[in-house]
Amino acid sequence: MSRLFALIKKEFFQITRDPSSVMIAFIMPLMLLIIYMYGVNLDTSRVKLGLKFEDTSPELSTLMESFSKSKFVRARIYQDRKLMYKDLISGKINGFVIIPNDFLKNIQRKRAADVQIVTDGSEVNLSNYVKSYPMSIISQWVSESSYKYNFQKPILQAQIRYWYNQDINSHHFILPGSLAITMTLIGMLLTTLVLAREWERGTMEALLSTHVRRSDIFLSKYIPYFILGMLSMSFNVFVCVKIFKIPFYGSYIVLFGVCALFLFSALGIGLLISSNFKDQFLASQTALSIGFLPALMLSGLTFPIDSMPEILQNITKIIPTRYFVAFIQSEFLAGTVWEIVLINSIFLIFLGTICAFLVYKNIKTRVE
Amino acid sequence: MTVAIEIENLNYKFKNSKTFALKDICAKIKKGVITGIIGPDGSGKTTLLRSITGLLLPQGGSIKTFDFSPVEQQEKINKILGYMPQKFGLYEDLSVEENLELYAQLKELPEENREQTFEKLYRFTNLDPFKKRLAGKLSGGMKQKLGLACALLGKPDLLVLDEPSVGVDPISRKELMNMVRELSSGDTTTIWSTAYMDEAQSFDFCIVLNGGEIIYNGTPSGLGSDTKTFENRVIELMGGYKERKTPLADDFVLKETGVDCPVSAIGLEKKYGDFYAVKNNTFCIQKGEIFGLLGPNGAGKSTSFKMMCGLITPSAGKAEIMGVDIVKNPSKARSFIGYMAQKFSLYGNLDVLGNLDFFASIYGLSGKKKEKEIKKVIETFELEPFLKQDTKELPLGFKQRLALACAIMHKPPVLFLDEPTSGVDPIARKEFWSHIKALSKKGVTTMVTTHFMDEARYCDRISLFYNGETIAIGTVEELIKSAQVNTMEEAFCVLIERSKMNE
Repeated sequence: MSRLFALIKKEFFQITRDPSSVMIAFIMPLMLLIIYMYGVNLDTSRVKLGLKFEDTSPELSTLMESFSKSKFVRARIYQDRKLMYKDLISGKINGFVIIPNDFLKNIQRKRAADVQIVTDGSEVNLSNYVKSYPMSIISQWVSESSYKYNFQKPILQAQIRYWYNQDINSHHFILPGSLAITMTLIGMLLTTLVLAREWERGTMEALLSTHVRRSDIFLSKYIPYFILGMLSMSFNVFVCVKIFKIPFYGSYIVLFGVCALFLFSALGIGLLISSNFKDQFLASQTALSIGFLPALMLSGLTFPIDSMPEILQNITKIIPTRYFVAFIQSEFLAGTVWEIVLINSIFLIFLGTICAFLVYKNIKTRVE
Repeated sequence: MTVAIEIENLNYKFKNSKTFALKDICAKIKKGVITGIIGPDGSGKTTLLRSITGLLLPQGGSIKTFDFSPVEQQEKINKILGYMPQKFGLYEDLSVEENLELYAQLKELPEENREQTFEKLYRFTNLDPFKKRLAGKLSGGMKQKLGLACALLGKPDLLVLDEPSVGVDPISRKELMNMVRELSSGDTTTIWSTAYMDEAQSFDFCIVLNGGEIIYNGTPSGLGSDTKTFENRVIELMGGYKERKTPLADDFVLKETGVDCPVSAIGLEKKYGDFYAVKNNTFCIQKGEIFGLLGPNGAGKSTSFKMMCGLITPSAGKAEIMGVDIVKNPSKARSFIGYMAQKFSLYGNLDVLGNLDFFASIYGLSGKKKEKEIKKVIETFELEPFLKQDTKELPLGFKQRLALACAIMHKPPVLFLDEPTSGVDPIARKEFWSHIKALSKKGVTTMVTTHFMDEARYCDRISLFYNGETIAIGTVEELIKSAQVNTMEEAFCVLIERSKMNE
């Protein structure tokens, strides 16, 4: 026990004296959270739209007004088609709408009226908005105009409510999800270096010739970084909930309980990488490419897992971040749902145990 | 005397290596004495020590360390072992005190006499005033003492020191030897590996390794009573060194410039904060002279060296190469220099030809002239068989040859060599110096730093550095005379002691 205690104490000295571990545990997550809070926004702000009225009936001035009043589009009226094309090419507008000559005439005659919408297909997401916003503005205008009786009411009228995220504010699910990414980064980056560093600086050789056992080394690498990770998690949650005011409906006990399981597996992956290298540079490169990037891409935070090809879906199953993202989003937005908590916990325990076992086996007690 | 360690037919081969690191080693190491394992880098010293302690599993043969088998009973060996690996095994971000405490706990020293042991160790190492200092901020000599103190904790029966004196000056080396003698109890068995031939005399027994084989095992006096004869005998055992004329200098023609002092420093100074790394350094190296800079670690040798090459800007004073100020006109001044850096700074991932080609190009050679020069150095240094080999895999002696080749292809009138012979075997060193001598005869001016006191004899003049100042300057004979001793090594120690007294 005294050996283990001595090693843990040493590890804490090293953590507190090495500015990079403090950077990784507190400064980097703060930066990531700020980027996710203010930089990443999946809700499209106003779409820049070109408008060309070839139908110059005075009655259409109210339609023009509807466009300019809409909070979803920023419309610009063009007289010249060529100029409009040019602006689309140079990216000044995201798409344009042309109201043809016979537009009003068709409506008056109770016939289907055509509208031409051109959008910039290179931005798929945005072009969907370019399509749907003008459509709804125009139908709104028709239904409020004197011609509203010219058309039948649609049979279905959907009343939509967004549960768990009433204001459809994407920050409410991105930020908790980004916590999972951040914790992955912390868990892996902190530990990938620690075993490789001992080899690189020649201290491992000195350790191995004392009375130290394999289990001492094993535990002395898990425990300090686990504690550091939990501190970092508390800091992150505090920033999210208290400073960025992200609503939290779950239980803090459950949140930190599952986080502990997650850290157990993330530290395990980091240590597993570290235990295979005797060179810090290689270890950190490997951690980034086989640990962090897949976690970012395949965790389901940025790209939904359900829409991935089957092989990739299977790969995501061994990525602990996936389970943590699923859990933490529901814990924040929907509160504790035991089914989700349990399933994800079981997977995390399973992954963590496998990693811990491999790390234990991989810790070398000899130089070669 | 009883046997502590018995080694029979020990073999070891690294993965991806064609040659054996250890080949059929048989030896008996006696109890209660200091045995030196002597040999150049890559001769298998570390592999042998690691096999004895159980850090490496041998691939053939058997070892008994104090009747334990390192293969199965590593834990039992660890209970009686004090081991100091290369680079000392210290945690640089822990203080002196914390390092000692950590190792005391890891070696499970009983709580009650810990304080006593620490006190004794502090007293012997003179580290008492530095208890709170981080190990990373200690000088090389102090680190080495702390490393030894950590290894000595728990009064080990077997003390294994892997190159404890590498990069450390003769004074610190002497202190270290005294520490080992006094602190290890009478029946401690000590194994000490080193690349310095001159250390051999201080051991009770020595095993000389070369290329993974034992070439001598016995008392040091069996080979020679002083360093020079010892080294010559070792060279003989290694297969002998044939003096031959080097073709290198044959067509080496320098332009007549009329510069008397190709390398000169006037009041050169470097200040970091209020600490002087180099203080008021003035010297002038004559044309064709070999000028050696000697001094303990941290004396300011490297700083002076780097200021002369224009790698560090001096705080005051000026440095001139062929009459050109290195600060005002660095690229012109540097074009006169052939520079061989510490550890040779070659590109490990390029093959030998790639390195030659690269260095020839950055020194401004091109076309036919480049081809001719490259061809010539390949012949002179016998690099032909290695041309396509990655440089990092070369034996150290060949790396050194290649580095010298790269530095002189453009026929510089001035050569700067920073510890060019560290870790290289004695034959390669002799060869190296024969090239430098030949170049010097053709008028090439050389400035060189070295840790080997015996290499001072190759230098025309020596400048002895201590605490950032030149404390003595002159030929080897002059220095030995002024110190009233017999060897350069003694002169070094005496002159530095004298300078300490004057402070």
